[in-house]
Amino acid sequence: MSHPDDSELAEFAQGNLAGAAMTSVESHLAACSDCRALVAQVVKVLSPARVYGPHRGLVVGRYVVLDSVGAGALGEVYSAHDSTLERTVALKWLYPSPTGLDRDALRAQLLLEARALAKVQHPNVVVVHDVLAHEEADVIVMELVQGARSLRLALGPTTPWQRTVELFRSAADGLAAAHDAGVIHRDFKPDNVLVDGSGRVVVVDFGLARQADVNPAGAQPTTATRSQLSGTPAYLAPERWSGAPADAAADQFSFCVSLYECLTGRLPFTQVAVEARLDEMRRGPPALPAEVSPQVVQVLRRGLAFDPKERWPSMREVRARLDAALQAPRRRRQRLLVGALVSLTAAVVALGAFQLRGRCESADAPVRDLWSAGRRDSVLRALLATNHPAAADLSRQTLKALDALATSLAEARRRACVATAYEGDSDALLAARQACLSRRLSDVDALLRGFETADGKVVERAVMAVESVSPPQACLESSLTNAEPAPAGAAGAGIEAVQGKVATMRAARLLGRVKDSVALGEATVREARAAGWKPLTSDALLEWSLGLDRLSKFDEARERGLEALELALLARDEAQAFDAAVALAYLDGVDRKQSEAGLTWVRLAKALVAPQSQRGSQAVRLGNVEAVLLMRADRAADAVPLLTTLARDVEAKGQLQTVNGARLYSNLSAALRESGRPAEGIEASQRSLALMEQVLSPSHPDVAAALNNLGSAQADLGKLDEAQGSFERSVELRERLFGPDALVLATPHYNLGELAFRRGDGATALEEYGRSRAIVEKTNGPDDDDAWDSKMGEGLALGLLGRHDEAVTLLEQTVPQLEKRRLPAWNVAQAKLGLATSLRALGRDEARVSALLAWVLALEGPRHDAQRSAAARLATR
Amino acid sequence: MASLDASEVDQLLERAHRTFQVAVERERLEAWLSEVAKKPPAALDPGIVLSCALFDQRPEALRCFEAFVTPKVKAALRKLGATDVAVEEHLQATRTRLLVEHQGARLKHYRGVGTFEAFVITTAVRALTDAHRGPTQRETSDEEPLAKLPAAVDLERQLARTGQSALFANAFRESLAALSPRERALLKLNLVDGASIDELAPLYQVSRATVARWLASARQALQRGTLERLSARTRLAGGDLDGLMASLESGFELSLRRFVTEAASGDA
Repeated sequence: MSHPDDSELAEFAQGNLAGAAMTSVESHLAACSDCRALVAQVVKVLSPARVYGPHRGLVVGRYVVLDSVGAGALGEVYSAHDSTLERTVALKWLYPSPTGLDRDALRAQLLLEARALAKVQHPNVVVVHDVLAHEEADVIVMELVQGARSLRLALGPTTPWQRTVELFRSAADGLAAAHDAGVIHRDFKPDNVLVDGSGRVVVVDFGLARQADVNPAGAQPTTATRSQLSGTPAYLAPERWSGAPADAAADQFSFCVSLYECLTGRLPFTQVAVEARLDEMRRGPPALPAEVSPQVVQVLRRGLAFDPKERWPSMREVRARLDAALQAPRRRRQRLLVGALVSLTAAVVALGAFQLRGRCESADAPVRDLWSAGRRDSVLRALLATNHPAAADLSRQTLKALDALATSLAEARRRACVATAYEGDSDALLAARQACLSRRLSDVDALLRGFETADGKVVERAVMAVESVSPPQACLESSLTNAEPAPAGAAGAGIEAVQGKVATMRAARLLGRVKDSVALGEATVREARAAGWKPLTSDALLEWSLGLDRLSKFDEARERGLEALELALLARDEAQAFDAAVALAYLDGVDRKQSEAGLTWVRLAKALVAPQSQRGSQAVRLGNVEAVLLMRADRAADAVPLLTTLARDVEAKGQLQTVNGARLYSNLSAALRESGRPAEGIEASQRSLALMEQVLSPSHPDVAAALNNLGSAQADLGKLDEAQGSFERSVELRERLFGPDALVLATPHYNLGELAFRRGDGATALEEYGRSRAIVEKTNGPDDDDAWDSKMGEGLALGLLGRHDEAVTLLEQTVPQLEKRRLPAWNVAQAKLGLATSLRALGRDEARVSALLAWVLALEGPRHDAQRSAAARLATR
Repeated sequence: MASLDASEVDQLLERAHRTFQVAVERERLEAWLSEVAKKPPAALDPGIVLSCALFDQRPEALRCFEAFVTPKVKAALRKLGATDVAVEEHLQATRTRLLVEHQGARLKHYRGVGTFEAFVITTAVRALTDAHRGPTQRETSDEEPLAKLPAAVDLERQLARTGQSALFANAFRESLAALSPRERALLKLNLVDGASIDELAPLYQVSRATVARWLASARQALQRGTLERLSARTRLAGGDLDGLMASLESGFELSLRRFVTEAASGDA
C-alpha cells in the first residue's frame, strides 16, 4: 500500500482537497489506521482556536461568546455578551505564547497596560475593560467596535490622499493620548487601526506585541533575530532591529511606515537581510507621489529618520503637522459613500448578534436564579455557623466547587440551546438534554438546601457531595435521544416533583444523613412508579439502594439496585444503567466481598459507556471501583496499569484536581505497595495527599487519613523518621479537629507505637499502644478488635522492656482473642512470636513455645518472611 | 505547468515577503513552481516561497523557519501532550526529515496548497506518532481484524447457538466495505480515532451539522446493510429473525462502536 505524503494529508486536514484527489485519500484512510490516526491528531492541532479556543455559547467569566469578528497575528476576536452590564463587548483571544515564557508575568504586564490604557479614555483608543485567563489563553475584554473594518480595507487605491491623511490624523490623536499615559503600542500598523460604522477611527491592540517581546536567553544581541522581536517586521523601527526596547519614537516610525504604505500602496523598506534592511533605512524612503502635499512628505521624511533622536519630538507634533497639511477643501461625496457602505456592514453584524442573544441568552437563567449572590452568601453563612474547627477552609473549598458546577451547568444549558437553535440538532434532542440538565439542577438545589441546614458532618462532606453531582457536560451527549422520552404536560409536572424528592434523598445521603434519605425511599419510589417514567423510577430505586447499602442492609440494597438497572436498560437510558452497574459492582464486590461478581458488573458498566463519550469523572469512578476489586481479588498487579493509565488520561483532561482524582492516587499507592513497589507507592501517596490538600483544604479530616496512609507506606520502606513525621501530623490535625480522645486518633497512635517498637524503644511503644487502646475502649468498650490489637502491641512492648511476666499475662489473653476475631494472620503471628519470646525468656513451658513457633513457621507467603525467620531463630536457640 | 503569469508571481513574492520576510529571485521561484506546484501562483500559499528558500539553504530562510514555523509546530506538539524535552526532540527530527535528509527533497512535496506550517506540523506529528509505536508498522491495514471480532451481542450468541456465528461478522464487514470511501473514512475517524464532528467539519469545509448528518446516514447504511445480509443468509425461523432484527436495531449503536473500536485496538 502506498501512503499519501505529508503534504497531501495536510491538505486534506485543512479542507483543501477535492475531486479525485479527495476520493483517493478517503479510500486510503478508510483502510489505513496509521494515516487516519495521523489525520485525527493533525486536525486537533492545526487551528489553536479549534481545540482550545472559543465558540458560540462558551462562558468566560461573566461573558458569553457570540460570534467571531476577525483574527490577527496574535489572536482571534469574538463578540460576546456581558451578562452583568447587559452590553456587547469584544473578547480578544491571545494564542498561547509559543515560547512557553512565564505566563503569569506576561498576564500581569498585560493587566498593567490595560489599566494604564483604561485611564486614557480617548475616542481614538479602544476601551479595554478587563484581562482574563481562560484555559491556556489570555483573553482581553474590550469595547466592540461596531461594523469595524481595518484601515487597510477602508482605504482603496482610488482613495484620495486627503482622506487617508484624515484617518491617520485621528489615529495619531489616539496614539498621542496613549503615549501621554505612558502606554507604548509596539505593533502599530494599518491592520491595528479600525474604522467603525460611523467613521470613527480606533487604534487597537496596544502593547499586545509584548507577548513575544521577551528574550529567553536574557542576552542583548547587536542584531536581533526575528524571534526576539515584537511587532511586525515590515513596520519595525531600525533601533528595534538592534534589540532596543520599544518606545514612543519607535511607535512614530511604525506610524509613518503605515502612512507611507497607505498613501503609495507599497512599503518604504523591503530588504530582507537585516544588514541590507538597515542600510536601506539609513538612506531614507523612496519618493512619494507628486500629488501628496509637501507637508505630508515632510512629516514622513522626519518620522522615518534612522536616528530616533532626529524624529518628531512626539506624536502630538505629528498630529499637528498632518492637521496643517489638511487645511484644504475636502471631497465630501467620497466620504459619504464610504460611510454608507460601512453602516450597512454594521447593521448586518448587529443583527446576527441580536438573534443569538434573543434565542439563547436566557438559557442559563435557572442556574443564575438558583446560585445567586444572595444564595451564595446564605450557604457560606450556614457553613461557617457550624463552628466546625476547619469551617473557614472547608466552606471556601465548597463554594469554589459550587461555583465551578454552576458555571458548567450554565454553559451546558447554553450549549444545548445553541446546538438546536443554530447548529441543526433536533428539538427532541434539546428536550432530552434539558430534562437531563434539570435533573442536575434539582440535585444542586437539594444540596444547597442541605448546606443551609448544615452541621459539622455536612461541612466535611460538602466538597465530595458537590463533586458527586453527575457532570452537566454528560447531558450534551447525542445518545440521549435513545432513551425513553419523559412525558410532557401534567405528567411532566408530576415528574418534576418526584425528581425533587430523589434529589433530596441524594443530597441527604451525600451529606451523611443516610437514615433520613432511606426513610424517603419507599414513598419516593411509589410516586415514581405512579408517574410512569422508567428512568425516573430507576433513579429513585438506585438512590434508595445506595442509602440501604450505607446502612449495611446489603440484601435489600441489592434488590433495589438490580431493579434500577433493569428499568434503566428497558428504557435504554445508558447513563442511568451505568450508574446502577457501578453501584452494584461496589455492593457485590466490596460490601458483599464477592470480588468476581463485582468485576462482572464493572465489565457491564464499561460496555454501557463507549470510550469516546466516557466522561472523565465517570471513568475515574469506574476505575477506582475496578481497582479496589482487583486488589481484593489479590490482583493488585493488574490494578497498577489500570490506575496509571487512568491518572494520565485524567491529568491530560485537567480533571485530576478532584476528590476522585485524589482517591485514584490513594488507590494507586495501595496497589503499588501490594504489588511490591513500595517506593513508587510512597510517591503516589504523596501525590494523593497533595491533591486532597488542594481540593479539600489542608484541614480536611481526609487529609489526616491520607497522612496516616503515607506514614504506613514510609514505615514499610524502613523510612522510620519520615513515617513518624507523617503520623504525628495526622495526630496533630485530628486532635485539632476532633479533640484528643476522638476515635480516629486510635490508628495513628497505634502506628506510632509500631514505629517505636521497631526502633526498640519499648517505653514509647507501650505508651502509644496504651493510648490507642484507651481511646478505643472509651468509645467502643474493651471487647473490640482494635482494642485487642493494641493490647497485643502493649504485650510486645512489655517483652521488649524485659517485663516478661506482664507480657505473658497480657499475650495469653490476647492470642485467643485475635484468633477468634479472625484478625489478619500477620497480627496473630506477631502476638505468638511475642508470647514465645517472653515464655522462653522466663524459661517456661517449652512445649507451648514449640507449638507457637511451629504455627508461625507454617505460614506461607512473602508477608510472613520476617516472621518465619524470627521463629526459626527462636526455635534453634 | 504552462507559462506563469508574471504579475501573479510578483504578488506571490510580495505576499511571502509580508508573511515570512523571505525572498527569492523571481526566476528561481518560477523554476520551483514549475517543478512542484499544480496551481497558478495566485492560488498558492506564500509558504511555497519559504519552502523554495529553505531548499536552497538560504540562511535567512532558516531564520524565518525558526521564527515563524517552529513556534507553531512546538505549540501543536505540546497540545498533543509532548513534554518539553520530547517537543525539542521531535522538532529536531522534523528539521532533519525536511531540511537535511535527501538534501531537503521532502520540501518538494509541499505544493503550496494549504499553509506551509500545516505541512510541517503534519510531518512533526508523524514523527511523534512514529516515535510512539515505531515506524515499521506503517504497512498494516485494519480491515483484517474486523473479520475476527469477538462474539458479544445477543444476536451473535443466538447465531452461535445455531452454528452460524461467523455470519454477523461477515455481514458487518461486507456492509462496511460497501460504504463509500468517504463514509468509511468518516466513521472510522470518528469512532476509532476519536475525531469530533467539530474537528471533521473543516476537512470538507461544511458545518458540524452536515458532518453529523453524514455520519448518521453512514451508520444507517451500515445497519441496513448488515440486517439485509443477515436476513438473506440466516437459517433461523421467521419468528426468531424478527426478534433478532428488533434486538439488533436497539443494540446496533452500541455494538457498532464496540466493533469498529475493537478492530482498531486489534491492530495496535
